[in-house]
Amino acid sequence: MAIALTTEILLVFWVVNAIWIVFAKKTYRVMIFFGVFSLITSVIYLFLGAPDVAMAEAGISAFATIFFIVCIEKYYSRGSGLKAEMASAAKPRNYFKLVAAFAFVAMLCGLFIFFVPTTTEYAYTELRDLYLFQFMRDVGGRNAVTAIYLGYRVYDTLFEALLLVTAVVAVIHLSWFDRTIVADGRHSEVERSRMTKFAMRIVCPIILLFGMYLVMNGHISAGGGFLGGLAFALFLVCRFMVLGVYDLPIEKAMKLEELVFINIIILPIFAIFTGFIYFYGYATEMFQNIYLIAMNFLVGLKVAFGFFVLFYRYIAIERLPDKEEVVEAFDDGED
Amino acid sequence: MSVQEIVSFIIMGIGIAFMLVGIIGMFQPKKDFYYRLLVACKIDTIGLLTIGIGLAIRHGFSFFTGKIILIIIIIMVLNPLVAHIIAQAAYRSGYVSICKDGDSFDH
Repeated sequence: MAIALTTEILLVFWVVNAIWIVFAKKTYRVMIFFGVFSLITSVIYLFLGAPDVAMAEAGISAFATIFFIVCIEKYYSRGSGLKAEMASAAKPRNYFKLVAAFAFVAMLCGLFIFFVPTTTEYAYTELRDLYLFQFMRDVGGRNAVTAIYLGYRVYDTLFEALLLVTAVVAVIHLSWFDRTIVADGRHSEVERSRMTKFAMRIVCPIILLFGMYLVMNGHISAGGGFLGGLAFALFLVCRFMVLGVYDLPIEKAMKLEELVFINIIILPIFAIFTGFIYFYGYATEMFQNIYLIAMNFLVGLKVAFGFFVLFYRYIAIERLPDKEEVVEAFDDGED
Repeated sequence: MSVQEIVSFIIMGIGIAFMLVGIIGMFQPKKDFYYRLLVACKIDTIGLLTIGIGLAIRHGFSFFTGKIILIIIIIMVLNPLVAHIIAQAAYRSGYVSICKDGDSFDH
């Protein structure tokens, strides 16, 4: 009961936060509000009984916020500058807002520390009970969330994968990628310290192992394709940023992403839409598990390559020395 | 409520107090980047560390405690490293500390 009440309070705050996002005057404030919005969303997911969706939401929102802030900084660095905007936004201190922020943070901390570990109760349980009653027979596996996004709602997953493909294609082709000169074998030009490199050499394989664990156990425990794909992308990004390894060029990554997307479409066509794996109890548990693991793996690769391409495009490539031509071309097009 | 639970609640409360003090420190009037980075690193490292230790005490000797101890070790190793990377990148991009050598941090 208390959890349901908390969820309703958070939902109200969610709507208020959405209104803040719409009416915010400064762009960086929009980004911060967006991060808060994702935080509340993930807490609500947790209360509704979907911890792995909450984890994925938190991870993706952290990634996306960094992307947006870097983009805004680049956009403003041509003209007035982010610092100028932030200086113009500096006002006398508003202590009421500070106190409200402290209260909100303290409330969230209190919820997480004293409330969540002591209870296993969730907010609204009717639909959840229905799915929990029948998902093992219908789709297989032991994770109901995986059963939903790879079984009951596989159309949603297909369109979400299509959405990521569209986002990558749009970013690449609307950002004058063909006018950028990218040579193979170029490294990140920033030289990191020896301490960082040493630690990353140890941590990178662990990140990859963790991603593999999340993907392979996605159908029996918390985790899954989207989350494991984020870990894969982190592995590639860490290698590029810290160790300076550039052995996967961006064209290859794009090709691989499209290939994986075709596989994501083909596999459900042969497995689910023919009725071979899904429903009616025809399939054995082994076939169901093979389908779930393969699909999780494909989704993970898809997310990894998608985020990797976006990362290269936004952060890595424009930092390279041949930046001037791109800026000139863009300005000509604008005039 | 057993002794174990009371001790764990006290330790987790210390962690939350550290986080609150850190957030107040990040809103300090003198907007120095490196000072704020120091405070933010304190929040992450010590706050999460104490809360993790409190959770571990609360759950006693179990598999869950092992996972928490693994997370604590990873945080202890990686968090200062992340702060180091951010500080290095800021130094290379040309951020200059407002504090001079003599009068640092005593305002």
